Amino acid sequence: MFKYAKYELRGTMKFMIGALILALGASTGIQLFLIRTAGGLGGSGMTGIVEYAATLMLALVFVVLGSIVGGMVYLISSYRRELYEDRGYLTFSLPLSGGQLLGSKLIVALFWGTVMGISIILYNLILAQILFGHNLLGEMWKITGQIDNFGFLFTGSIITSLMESAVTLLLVYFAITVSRVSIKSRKIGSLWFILFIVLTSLVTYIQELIANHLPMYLDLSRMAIIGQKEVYIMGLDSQFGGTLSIRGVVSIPGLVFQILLIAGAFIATSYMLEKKIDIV
Amino acid sequence: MNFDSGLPIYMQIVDIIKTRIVTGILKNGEKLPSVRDLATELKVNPNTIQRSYGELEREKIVFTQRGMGTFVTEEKSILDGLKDTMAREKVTSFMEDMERLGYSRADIPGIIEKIIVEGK
Amino acid sequence: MENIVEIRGLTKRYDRKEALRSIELSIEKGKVVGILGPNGSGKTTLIKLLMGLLHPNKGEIKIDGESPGIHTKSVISYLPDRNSLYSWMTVKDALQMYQDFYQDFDGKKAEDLLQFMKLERTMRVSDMSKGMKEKLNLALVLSRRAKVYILDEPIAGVDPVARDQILDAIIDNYKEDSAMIITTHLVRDMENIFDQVVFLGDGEIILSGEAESLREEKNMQIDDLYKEIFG
Repeated sequence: MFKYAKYELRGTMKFMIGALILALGASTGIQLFLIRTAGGLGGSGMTGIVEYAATLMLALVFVVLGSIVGGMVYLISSYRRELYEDRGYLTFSLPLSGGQLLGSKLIVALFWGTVMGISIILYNLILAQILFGHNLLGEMWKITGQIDNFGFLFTGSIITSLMESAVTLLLVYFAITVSRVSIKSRKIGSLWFILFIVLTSLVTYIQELIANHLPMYLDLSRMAIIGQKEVYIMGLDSQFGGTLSIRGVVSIPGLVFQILLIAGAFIATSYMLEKKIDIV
Repeated sequence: MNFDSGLPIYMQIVDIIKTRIVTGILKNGEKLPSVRDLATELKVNPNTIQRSYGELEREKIVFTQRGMGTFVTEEKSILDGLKDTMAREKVTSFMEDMERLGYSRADIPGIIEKIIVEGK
Repeated sequence: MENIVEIRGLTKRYDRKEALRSIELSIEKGKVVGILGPNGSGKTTLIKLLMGLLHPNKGEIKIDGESPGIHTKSVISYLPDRNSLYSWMTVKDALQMYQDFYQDFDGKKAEDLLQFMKLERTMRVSDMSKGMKEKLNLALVLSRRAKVYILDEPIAGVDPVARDQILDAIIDNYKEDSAMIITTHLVRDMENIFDQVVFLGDGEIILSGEAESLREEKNMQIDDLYKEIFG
């Protein structure tokens, strides 16, 4: 099924590893800079750690976002190039269904997203522990132990974030494919981005609409289905869609909508790849 | 290899093989190159060579032994006949050229004799 | 003989312009068919329709009994008119890819062809000259035991030595049970390997038939006929 994924992985390897190294290098720089400015931190106890952690997190988020955005742009361009460049002559003459091709592209993009996210976070935590001597990992482990049903929460958040990424990627692929099918010129084909923005806004709007009208939530920390009232009691905004809230609550209809969206976008894009795309 | 006349290529290959037989490059009873080898040598489609061999077989100049290949016939009468036919073709075309130059058929033996004598 | 390729009423338009108009063509197993025509006559469009890289506006294509799709792609060995191997690949990667995707790939044959073409396994596609890329692509394409070979302009833009090598490789790899479709505008160099020729001009078949019958009938070689038609 994902024979093609191997070649997509090999093809994107060099750039993605480069982006990762850049991100890790940058975070090392940031941490080394922080160790200077926070020189007096040593004995100041908890408040110092919190202050330090806040600054660190902000900087890290920036680096993480920067490198992930760069990587994402590259992965998206890897899809776009199949439709516009000579390599498409090879890719589209392989005995592959549209679904297999799209699936491979999607899996590899998600794989890189996960690898980059996890490596950047872990690397920074370990580096911080080495540089500052605080047992950050141990502290975090202790905190997670105090959370009810942490396993569910953790798995749930991984699954929902993968689904979020899949929705975004599939909307991108869908938009690129639609503009390729309807407009031949590559330049005007850049309109895919506008289409993508419109689609994303529409999806977010529908998701909120659904969550609002069908108040049914899954509380991952208790593995229980809860209604509007409990959500108010927990102090959450009542209008969120498929996304997981910080408190581990997810809208069930929103989730269903997201699954349908993934299936729909996948099928539609696969169909277009197989039956509608003209490699010119 | 380029085949320049207007004749079909298989006919031109038939002529090439006949010439090879008459000039002794291919001897009586000798195995002809395989279809594939000759195709590679002459840079033509193997189907064309197959057709040439078929034509030669029809003219009884070669024969095919199942699983062994194609061989030049050992029957002297056929080979003599082939030599004779080719000689006649050459002479006929030579005479046509001479006629175009304005000589009559009767002049031709004299001219040939003269050239042979001068040559010695 | 069994027709491995059947094309009926095939029409393809790009926007308003008709690139191919009502093409009818049958190809038997064991035949080498030359699609001849100047640039822009619709040769590559026809090939890409057969490969399923383009989709027809009208008409139908049957290859090995099926419309272009996954099955036909698995039985056609296709040489595009440009290098399509990914630039990050080495010769070894390209071999591996063929091995992974095509059940009819013959690794031993590929080794022989690479040696014949003087290509090393460690060479990178991005470092190769046009002629080398052409030879690598052809070696890969001929390493398959496919039912149909489609070669789009296999000798265009390569030097005479490579041209001879490519021609030899094509002749050596002729198979009785598969068909070969070759497009070219270099008729002189290739006409001797065709059983059947199709003259394509402005998206229409102008003339087609057995190469030998056409030579006999018109009393000239296909190249001369080509010049008469398109000259």
